Amino acid sequence: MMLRNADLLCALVCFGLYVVLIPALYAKPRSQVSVEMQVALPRFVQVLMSVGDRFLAANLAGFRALVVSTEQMTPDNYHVLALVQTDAAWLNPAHEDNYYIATAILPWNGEVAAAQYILKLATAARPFDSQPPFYYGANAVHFLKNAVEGGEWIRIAADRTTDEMEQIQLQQLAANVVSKGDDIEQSIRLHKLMAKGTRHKSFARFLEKRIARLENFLMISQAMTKYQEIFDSKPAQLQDLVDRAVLTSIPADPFGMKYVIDARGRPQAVDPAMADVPAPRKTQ
Amino acid sequence: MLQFFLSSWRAGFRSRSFLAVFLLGIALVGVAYLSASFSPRQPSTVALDVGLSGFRFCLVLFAITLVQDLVSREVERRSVVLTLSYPVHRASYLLGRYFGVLALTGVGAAILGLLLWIAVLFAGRHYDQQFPVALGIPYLMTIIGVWLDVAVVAAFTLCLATFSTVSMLPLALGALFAIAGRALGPVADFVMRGADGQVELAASYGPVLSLIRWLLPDLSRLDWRVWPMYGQVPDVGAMWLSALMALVYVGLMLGLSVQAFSRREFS
Repeated sequence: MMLRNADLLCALVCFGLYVVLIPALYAKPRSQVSVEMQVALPRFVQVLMSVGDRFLAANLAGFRALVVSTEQMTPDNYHVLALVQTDAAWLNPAHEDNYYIATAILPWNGEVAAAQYILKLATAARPFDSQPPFYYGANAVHFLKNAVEGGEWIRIAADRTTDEMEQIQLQQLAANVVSKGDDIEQSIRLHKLMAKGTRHKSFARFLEKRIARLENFLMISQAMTKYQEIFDSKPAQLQDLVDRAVLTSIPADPFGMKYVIDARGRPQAVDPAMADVPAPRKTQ
Repeated sequence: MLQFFLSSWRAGFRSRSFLAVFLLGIALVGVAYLSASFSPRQPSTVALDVGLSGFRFCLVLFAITLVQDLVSREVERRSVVLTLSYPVHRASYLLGRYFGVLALTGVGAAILGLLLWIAVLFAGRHYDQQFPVALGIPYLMTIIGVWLDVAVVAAFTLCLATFSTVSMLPLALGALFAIAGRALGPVADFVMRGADGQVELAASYGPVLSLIRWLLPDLSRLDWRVWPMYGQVPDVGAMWLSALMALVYVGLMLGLSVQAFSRREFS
C-alpha cells in the first residue's frame, strides 16, 4: 500500500518543501540588474551565441553599446563598453554605428586606445568613408597631443571626401595641425604630399609658402643646435646666430612675418608689430 | 530521379515544417525591420544585416527539416522499403530527394529574399543615409551565397540521414555542422592572429583548428553581405573558390551518401 502510493507521497513532500522554500527565497534580496556595462564575453563565444554569424554578433554588441545607460557609469563600466565595442569592430570593422558611438563616448572617458583601434579598423574597412580617419586624426591631436599623426590622418580623410570644398577645408586643417607639431621634417614631408595631392592651385601655393616657412624653421633650429654646441649656451635672440656667424642671415618669411625664439626655445613666426612683445602671438 | 524530385517538391509544400519555417522567416524579416530603429546612422544597412542573419538561420533550418521529413522519417517509418521495392536505383531516390530539397530552399530563398528586400526599402524611407545599401546584383549574389551555404549543410545532413539509425541525429548534427561551419572562419581568424594576446589559447587550439579546417568547410566564406551593405565587392577569385569549395563538398557528401545508402539494409 505504502509502495503503491510512494509517488503521491513524494509529490506531497516536494510540495511541502516548495511551500516552505518560496517565502525563504523571496525574503532574500534580489541582486540588482545593472543597466550599465558589466560583462564582455570572449569573441568566439559571441560568435557561437549568434549561431556562428559574426555579423549578427557585431550587431548585438552594437545594440548593447547603443542602449547602454551612461548616466552612472564607472571607469570599469567604460572599460567593459570599450571591450564590447572593440569586439564589435573586430567582428564587423565596417559597422558605421559602432565607430560613431565609440568616437562619441570612449575617448572622452579615458578609453582613447580603444576608440583609436575601432577607428583604425573602420578606416581600413570603409575606404569610401572620410569620417573614421578624420576622427582618428582629431583624437590623435586632442587626446594624444600627437599633431603629426593627427595631421596625417586628417589628410587621409581629405583624400577620401568627394566634396571639393570639404577637401580643401580638411587639407587646410591638416596643414594647420601639422604646422603646430614638433617634428619639422615630418611636417615638411606631409605638407609636400598635401601640396602634390590638391587640385586647388591657390591652396597648393599656400602650402608651398608654408613649406618654405617650415624649411626656414628647420634651418634656424639646426643653427641653434650648432650654436649651443659651440658656445655651450642657448642664443637669447635670433640675431645672436648671425652676429656669431652661425647663420649668414635670418631668412625672410614667405608670409611677411618676423621670426623670433619663443618661450620654449623654438623658432616662431609673429606679426612684425608684435615682435617685441614677450609672449609672441602665433600666426598662419 | 525526376519522380523523386517531384514527389519531394509536392511533399515539401504540403509539410508543416514548410509553413512553420516560412512563418518564422516572416517574423525575422519583421525583426530586421524593427532593428533599423536601433541605428543612428545606417538604418537600412542594419535592417539588411540583421535580416540576412535571420534569412541564413531560417533557410538552413528549412533545409535540415526537409531532409529530416523527406529522408530520415521515411527510413524510420520504413516507407522507404516500399519505395525501393520498385525497380529504381537507390542513388536516384537519394539524389531526387536532395535536388527536391535544393529546389524548395530555392523557392524559400526567393520568397524571404523578396520580403527582406521590401522590409529594407521601408526601413530606410525616413532617413537618407550617407552610404546607401546596394539592393541589386550585390543583394542577389548574397542570396545565392546563402543558398550555396544551405546546399552544403543539406548535403551533410543527407549524408548523416543515410546511415543514422536515430531519426533526430541528422537534424541535431546538421544544425551543429551549420553553426560550426559558419563560426569556423571568425574563430580560426581569432586564434590564428594570436587570440588577442592569449598565447596559451592560441598555442593549444591553433593546431586543432588547422586540422578542423580540412574537415569542415568554412561556410563564412560564402557570406558576401559586405557587398550589398557597404558596396565593397568581394574578391572575385575568392568568391569563385568559395563556390567551388561548396560544390565539391556537396559532391563529396552526395557520393558518400549514395555509397552508404546503397549498402544499407532495411530489415
